[in-house]
Amino acid sequence: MTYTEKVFSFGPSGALQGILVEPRGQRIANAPAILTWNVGLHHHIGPHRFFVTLTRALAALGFTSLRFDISGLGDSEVSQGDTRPDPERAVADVREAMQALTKQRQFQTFVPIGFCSSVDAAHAVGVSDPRVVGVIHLEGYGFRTKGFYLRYPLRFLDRNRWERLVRMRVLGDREAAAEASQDKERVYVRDYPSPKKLQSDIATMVARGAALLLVYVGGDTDYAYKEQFFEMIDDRTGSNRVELAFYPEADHTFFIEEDRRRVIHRVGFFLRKHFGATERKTASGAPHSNRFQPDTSPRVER
Amino acid sequence: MKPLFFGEANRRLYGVYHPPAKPSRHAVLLCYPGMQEYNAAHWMFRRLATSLSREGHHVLRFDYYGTGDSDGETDAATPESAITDIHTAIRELRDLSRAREISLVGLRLGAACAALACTGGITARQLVLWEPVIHGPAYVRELEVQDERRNLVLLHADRTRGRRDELLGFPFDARVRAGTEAIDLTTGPGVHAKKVVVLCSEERDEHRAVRDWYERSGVSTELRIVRESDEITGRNLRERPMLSNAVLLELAAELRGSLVG
Repeated sequence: MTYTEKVFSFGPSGALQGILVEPRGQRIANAPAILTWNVGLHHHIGPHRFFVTLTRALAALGFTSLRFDISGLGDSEVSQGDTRPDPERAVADVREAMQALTKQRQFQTFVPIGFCSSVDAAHAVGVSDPRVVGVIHLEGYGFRTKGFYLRYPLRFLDRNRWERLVRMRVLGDREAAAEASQDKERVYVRDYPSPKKLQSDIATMVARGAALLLVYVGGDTDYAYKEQFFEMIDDRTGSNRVELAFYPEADHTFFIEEDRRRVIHRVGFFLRKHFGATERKTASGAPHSNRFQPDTSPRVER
Repeated sequence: MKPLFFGEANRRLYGVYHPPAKPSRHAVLLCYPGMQEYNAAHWMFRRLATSLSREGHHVLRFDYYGTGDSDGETDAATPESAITDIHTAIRELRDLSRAREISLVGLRLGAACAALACTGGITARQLVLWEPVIHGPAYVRELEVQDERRNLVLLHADRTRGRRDELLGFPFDARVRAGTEAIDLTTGPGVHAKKVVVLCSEERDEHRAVRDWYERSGVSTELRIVRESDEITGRNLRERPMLSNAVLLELAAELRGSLVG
């Protein structure tokens, strides 16, 4: 195995629980610690065990990660008397994780990975905390733009969309219709920062030297082409520090294993590029460099 | 609540031990459903474990190899390996609790694995089969129907048509399929348990069949129907366990009897 995992309890009275994933072989010197936590109400392993696979893959590259539950979710408890609203508490919990990793493992810098709803806390901490040297959003903020609407008719060339329409509307598959409707309620109703605020937040992080990877998917989302993010915030000045990845065939939680594998490769490549440039060898003696090349075939990432 | 890793060094399992609120000689092992239903059940299992520990039971809930935070790639988890892991978890729970007797509560595929674990090596005080998977092929078919619908909704129909190596977002290769389809709780060796309770929201022939089979094997078996609110019964089995207070109360009441025995 290329990793070791330990139970990691932290926060007030040790109420927050997580798993610390450390490389078994060589570590990248001065690398940031990677943080992942709950997506929606899922516990910290993430949808389809995404964060377990991701953090173990990152350990093979030399990165230490903490995947944990924010208070009140998964295996973490809410401290007695804590009446803060959930978003505020989530941000505080991420900071607790950073503090604990500094105290117990001497980490000074961090890269939070937000996925869907957990992007909110990742973004908030990224903007306000200088210890955050990189931020990764998986299915973060997306606004419809002119470019989105121009490409919108292309959706109707997708056979899958017609097949779904026929099943739900013509053949009356009520279960599929109910599932689609539930997805819409659960996944896409969130409070986003305004484009102007997002632009200013990105500028703040870029000015500080932080690197950003923003991953988007197609399907039913409000995202239609790779560069849409820059159109959203009407600003490309930080584009040398902001990397975009777009997987038009993937869905919001990367339901297909092949899609998850591609995103994990992309995240690994991003982290190695910005925080692990030194070529090092694994415990087995094989170099890391070829393990995480970005998959940029037009079919999967545009 | 004490999270821990246990088991062999090359096959560590993650679990959370909930110590009892008062001294007790009875322990409960909670067996999660299959990984397709794990996330939906996790919160309910935490609530159940907390509730049972407050009642005075030692409780351990744990992740099978290849699931949750336990070691192993996701494609390594099979029903056979889950049964092995249940035996490992029972040994761990005995060490943690020094309990005289252990009961097992399993949900869906976890119920089937718990029942099969009780056919050799251990005798459970109570074996609670909660919405159990009784016939493997029917369960696989149910997952396939959900998977096909999910792929339709997520616009993956073209990519996944005819695919048999993934189900509901998880690997499901021929080995896992064969192991799952081999499950049949209405035949084979009887279970070693003082009492079996089959807990379900609606009575079906297969529930009666498993009850009759266990009764014929000489094990006292009760079929218990727990009616849930309309809001819950309208949802699929992957979601119900997360929501059902009625089942939680029923389980707590059922296991209360083991504390006084």
